[in-house]
Amino acid sequence: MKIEELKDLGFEMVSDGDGEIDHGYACDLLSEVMGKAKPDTVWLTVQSHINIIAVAAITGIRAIILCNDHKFDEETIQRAKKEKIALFKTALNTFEACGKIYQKGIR
Amino acid sequence: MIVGDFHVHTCLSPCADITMVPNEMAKRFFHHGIEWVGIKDHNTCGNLKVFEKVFSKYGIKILPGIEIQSIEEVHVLGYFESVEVSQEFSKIIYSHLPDIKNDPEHFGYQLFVNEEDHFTGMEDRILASSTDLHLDELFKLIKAFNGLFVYAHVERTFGVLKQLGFIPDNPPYDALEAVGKIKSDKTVLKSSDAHSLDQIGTSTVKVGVDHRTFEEFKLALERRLVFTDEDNSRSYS
Repeated sequence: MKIEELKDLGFEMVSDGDGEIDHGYACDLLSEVMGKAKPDTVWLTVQSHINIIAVAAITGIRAIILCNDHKFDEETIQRAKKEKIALFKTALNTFEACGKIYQKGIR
Repeated sequence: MIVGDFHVHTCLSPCADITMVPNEMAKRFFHHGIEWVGIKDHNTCGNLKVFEKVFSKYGIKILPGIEIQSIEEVHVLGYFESVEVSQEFSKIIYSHLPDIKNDPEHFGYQLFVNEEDHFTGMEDRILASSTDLHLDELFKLIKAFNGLFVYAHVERTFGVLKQLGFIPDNPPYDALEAVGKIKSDKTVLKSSDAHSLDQIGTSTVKVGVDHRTFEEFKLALERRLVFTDEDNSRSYS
C-alpha cells in the first residue's frame, strides 16, 4: 500500500513520508513497539511524544496514525519531516482506525 | 533544614544534555545553595561513583539511586543507602532491559564521564526503554535492597497517573514526586528532574533533618519532614 492511500481511507495527513506500507501495528507502549513492530509498518497509537519518531526510525515504521483526535507536538512533526516518516491524525479510536486498514488487506 | 533536589540526570541518561558532567553540575548546585542531590539516571548507576567523588569536593552530598522504567512505562525512583548498593541493584536492572543497541542519533548519547569531566565511554545498550518488570516486581526488588520506592513526576509523561490513570493501592510506595499540586497522604517531593544545566535550581525542597544520610532521608519521608516552597509560603502567610 502506498502511504498516500491512507488519505483515501479518511486519515488526515499531517506530514508526508517515504516508502510503502506492508504491515500494521497498534500499541501505546513505546518499548513494546520497539521490540515487536516490523519494518514497513503503519503504526496506530495515541502517543504523540517526540520519542515515537525515534521508535519509528529504529523499527522501520513508515507511517504513524494518531487516533482519538489527539494532536502532534510541533517538535514531533519537525522530527518526522526530518526522518521522512509520514504522520496522520484521525478522530476515530484505534480499533475503528485499524479496521479500515485491515479491510485493505494490511496485516 | 537542608536544601535538596532528589531527581537529576547526568550525561549517561540518553535524554540528558551532554553538558551534564560532574564539575559543571556541582558548580550550579553550589551556586544555588543545594547541598543534597539525588542522581537518578535512566535504568543505570554507571556515573554515580564519579559524581559522588566530584560533588564531595564542592561540599555536596549525593543521595544515590536510579530512575527505572517499569513494563507499564511508569518511571520509578529508587533510592539506596550507598553507591555500591545502587550499583548492585543496577546490575539486576540491566539484565531486565531488552538487548537492543542504543542509537545515539535518535535517542541521545549515553556517556560515562571521569572526574575531569572527560567522556570515557558509551553505554551501548538502550537505556530509554522499559524493563520487563511490573510495578509490584520492581517494588519487591527495591525492597530487597532496602531501598525507597518513589513514583516520579506522577502527572507527566511516564508518570504513574498519566500511564495508569490513578495510583494503585499496591505496591505501597514510599513517596511520590509531583510537578503541580497533588493531594496525598504520603510525602510529596518536588524535584528539578534536570536534564540540562539551566534546569538546575528550578525546583528544590527543604528537608528537616540534621544529616544528609539515607537513613535520615528515609525518616524525613516517613515523618513528612520534606517541605516545598508552597509549604513555606503558607506557613508565613
